[in-house]
Amino acid sequence: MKGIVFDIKRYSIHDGPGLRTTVFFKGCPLRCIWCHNPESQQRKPKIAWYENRCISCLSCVDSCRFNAVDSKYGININKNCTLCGECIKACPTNALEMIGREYEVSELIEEILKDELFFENGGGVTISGGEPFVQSEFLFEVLDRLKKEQLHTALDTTGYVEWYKLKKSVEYVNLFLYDIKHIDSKKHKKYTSVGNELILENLKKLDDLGAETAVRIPIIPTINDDLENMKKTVEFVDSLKNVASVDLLPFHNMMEDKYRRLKLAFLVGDIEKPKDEKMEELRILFEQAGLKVNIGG
Amino acid sequence: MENKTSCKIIDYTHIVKEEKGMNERIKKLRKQSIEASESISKERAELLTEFYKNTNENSIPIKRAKAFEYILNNKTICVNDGELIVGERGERPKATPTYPEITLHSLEDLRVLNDREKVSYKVSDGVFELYEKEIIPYWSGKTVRDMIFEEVDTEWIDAFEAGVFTEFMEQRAPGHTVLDGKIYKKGMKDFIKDIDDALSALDYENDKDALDKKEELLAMRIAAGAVINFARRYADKLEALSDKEKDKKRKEELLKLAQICRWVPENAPRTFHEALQYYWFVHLGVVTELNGWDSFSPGKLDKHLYTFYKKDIEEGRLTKDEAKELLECLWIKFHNHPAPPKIGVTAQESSTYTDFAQINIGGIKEDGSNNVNELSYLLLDVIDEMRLVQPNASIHVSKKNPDKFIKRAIEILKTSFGQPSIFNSDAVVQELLRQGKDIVDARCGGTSGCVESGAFGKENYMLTGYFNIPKVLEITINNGKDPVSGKTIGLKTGEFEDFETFDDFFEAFKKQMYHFIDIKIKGNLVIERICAKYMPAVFLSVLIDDCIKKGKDYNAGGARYNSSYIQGVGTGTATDSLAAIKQVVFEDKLFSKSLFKEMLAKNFEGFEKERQILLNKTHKYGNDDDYADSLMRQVFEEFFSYIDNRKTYRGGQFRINMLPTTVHVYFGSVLGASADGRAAFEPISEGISPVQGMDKNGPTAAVKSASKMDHIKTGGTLLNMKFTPDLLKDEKGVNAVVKLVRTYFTLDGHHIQFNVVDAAMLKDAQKHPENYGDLIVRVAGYSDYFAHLNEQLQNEIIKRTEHEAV
Repeated sequence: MKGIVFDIKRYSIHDGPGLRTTVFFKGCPLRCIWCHNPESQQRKPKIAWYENRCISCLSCVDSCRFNAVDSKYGININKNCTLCGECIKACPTNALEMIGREYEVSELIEEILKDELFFENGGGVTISGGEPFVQSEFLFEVLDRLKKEQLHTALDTTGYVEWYKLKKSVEYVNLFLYDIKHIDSKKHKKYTSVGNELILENLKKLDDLGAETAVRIPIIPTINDDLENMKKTVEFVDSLKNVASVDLLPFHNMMEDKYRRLKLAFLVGDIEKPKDEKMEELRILFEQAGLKVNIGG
Repeated sequence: MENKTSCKIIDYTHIVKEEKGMNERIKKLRKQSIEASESISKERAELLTEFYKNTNENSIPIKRAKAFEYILNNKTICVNDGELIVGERGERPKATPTYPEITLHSLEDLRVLNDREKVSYKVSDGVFELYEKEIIPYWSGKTVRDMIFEEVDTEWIDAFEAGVFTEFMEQRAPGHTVLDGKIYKKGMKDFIKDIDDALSALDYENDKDALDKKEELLAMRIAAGAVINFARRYADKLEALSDKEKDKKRKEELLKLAQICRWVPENAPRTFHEALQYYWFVHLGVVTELNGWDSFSPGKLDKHLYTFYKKDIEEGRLTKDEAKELLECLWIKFHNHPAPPKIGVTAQESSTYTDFAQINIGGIKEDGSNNVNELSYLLLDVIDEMRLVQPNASIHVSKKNPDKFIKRAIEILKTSFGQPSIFNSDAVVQELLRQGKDIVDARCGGTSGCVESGAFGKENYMLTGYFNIPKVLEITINNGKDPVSGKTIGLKTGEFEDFETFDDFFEAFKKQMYHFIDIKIKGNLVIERICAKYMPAVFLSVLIDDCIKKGKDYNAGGARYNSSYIQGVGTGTATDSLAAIKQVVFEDKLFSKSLFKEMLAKNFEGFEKERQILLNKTHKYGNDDDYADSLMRQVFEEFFSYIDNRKTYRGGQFRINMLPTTVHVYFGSVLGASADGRAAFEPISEGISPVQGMDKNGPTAAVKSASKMDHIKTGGTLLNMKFTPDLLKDEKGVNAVVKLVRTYFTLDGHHIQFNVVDAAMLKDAQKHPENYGDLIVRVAGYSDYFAHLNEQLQNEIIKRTEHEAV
């Protein structure tokens, strides 16, 4: 069984407790306009070009048998591309990179186990994305193996997934990192391309099953940081019983480069990161409801 | 401002301004010490020469002892305003003596010392005159350095000049020595009694060496007495100062100090204050007698001083604040003593005022139990407040020590002050046990200098020279020729083009390495004999077991354990070069062998694309990648097994360790382009750290790679890691580092040092990303490589770092 993973980050300390390895699955049903990992959206791998690393030797162009690489305006990979990877091999400076590659389950587990010793006392593995459930068959095989390895597992999910799948994952997952992006479904749809009904319903059901969650809320100025939305979000989260913490993730636009590399439109360039005072205000709002708050995960 | 040093040589110019926690006295003393300028003191050279000119003494040890006595009896007594620990090696703080009997500075050397931009020492006209008229005429041709260069073979000289290895003893005496707890129980008076006992036990009829022993013991006796008298001279001076002192409080202090100097070092100390003053007199004795490498160190201060501390506090003689103040006064004393001035290659390899005295904190006691006590934390407070380049401080972490202890150290590291470094106490014990030491002696050991393990108070473990592993590789590629000089200095192990397999090539490399190790060891034997014969360290011999018992000098094998170390340098560069050769030349056959050789010879001129391939497309050490890491292991094992356990002149064993101080810069400067894509004359990798910027899988992977080396077989390894303060900002970040350290130590890692970068370093990283590929910064909710961020983001992080700097 193979799945597509676009990054594996060791020494990860912001995605769950302790020292962790975070595995990023490719593919996502949502299209959040502030997406910090735009490379995660498409399930299919893609070749990205790092302009700052390129020495314009054109080895990539020469290496391609399909005429898929041109150099008219920087390096372009066109639709002829078969993802054979020859251009990447030929590039002496790693200016071309394959975003996403196939991993066998065993290969991925082997990579994760490299840091097994570091996971002791509270650390472990976080599966993130994209939306990991997009590759649900692969996900369950990986989760099953992680459980057999007795590793603490956190799953970072949008919650936009069929309930039976989420339900099944409960027996494998120690902690859900569960996103709430907007409490108003219309706005949710406007900014993420999907409504939030399924997401909120799933979270309630998950909570009823006793699954431990860390609710993660990206704070996007002008989009979801208004007091009304936040108060309603607090109300919703407060109605749940098994929320270990609320992680408020302040928006930043440090991923702009990624958009450029992937030749995607960056729509949130004029949104500024929330002020520290704003984050404090929100912290207090959640804390007043008796919730444990982390800023920045 | 890239931090090119790896052995904790701290550029503190930007933190000098900060003053925290210190009381007014300490603030003043610290300021005085920082502002004092380093100068050459003529006193020692003058007195020594005067003595030698007028003596009729024939016995070398007794002559050395009497010279030592003459210096201490006649040198200036310096008491600085407000200080509570007294004693200076020179006439004033930072006045640094020379040791013309070991290495004789020429007038030109003195001019260089005076004029050079970095690590300069002011040389007064008086010193120039003295050197011209007295010192140079007398010592010319008679120094240890002269003897060494006279006696070593030409092949040794060739290899030395090519930068295959360095030689520690060409300008300084054997050192790295650390004291155990014996002085806190015994006064010099008691040591003299031990000497007398040993003298009366000599068997002149049956022991052919008895007369030599007698000379050595008599010399030790003179030296011990000289230090008692030196303290008395301080007592006299302090009393005189007290008489004249108008300030009532200071008057009493001076009187109390005088009383202390009348009691120690003659007698065993009774109080915390006496214990510290005693150590300092002993320290001054050792560093005045000879210019031993890495100064001299008190070892585990928290262990040695705890009973005094507890008793004084219980009996109302001392408060915690007073104890801290006294420790801070001691810190200033260390800081007042820069390294003896070095010249030539030795100055290049160790370009710093730091003399590497190292204070060990924490770890375990002789019974194997936890040694972290209240004083351990107080010492960490002292480091935090003092922020001085020396003494170096290290924490020793055993599985028996609490996490809280490591966290307190990280609190200090986080402020971009490069201290303390972190050692694995359990690994140090295992290393010493492997060498055949007794378990209690091993537990009482620790580290000194940079990272060197030793049995404190019982071992002469000297470093003999750095060994440039990448240089040997370069010579192998060139069939015995050093391409930089064009001279053939190695074995003809075959033309690179003729090797059919990588294994054949590796075999040639191995032979070449053996060849240079043999040359190095042969030279070491010559030098050890010279030290043993002509450079007895009679005062140090009083302090180190079992010199008195054996009637044998420290430098002649008198210590209980004797080890001579050769330091392997360039692990990362050598490994990555071998990995590139294996992969690109022998496996993928991407470049022909002759083309490959040509690229290196031309320093990649016209081969930029090829160089990029070597830099970016080959296996690199530091990424938990077995392809590269197994080659590292192979090189290490060859280096180890060919050196370890070979016999030294003093009756000890040769050992290895893997540390560079700053020699990786010098070693790089004599090395042409290397197979890993490094341009000619650039620094090589330092310690066992990966090549600068080549570890790209994060700290856990770097630590895993490093741990594939068998640290227990060494006497110390050095691993550096760069962090931004952001990564240590919150509890989560701190806990992660604790876990990183604990895991590295579970894997037997010997030492790790965190360089928490400051804004200046980040600015440098922006200009030279190639040196900082491994630098991870916390961006927002995630971390990324600094070099991967765009300029705007980098600027933001620089701003943030500036803002958060304490």
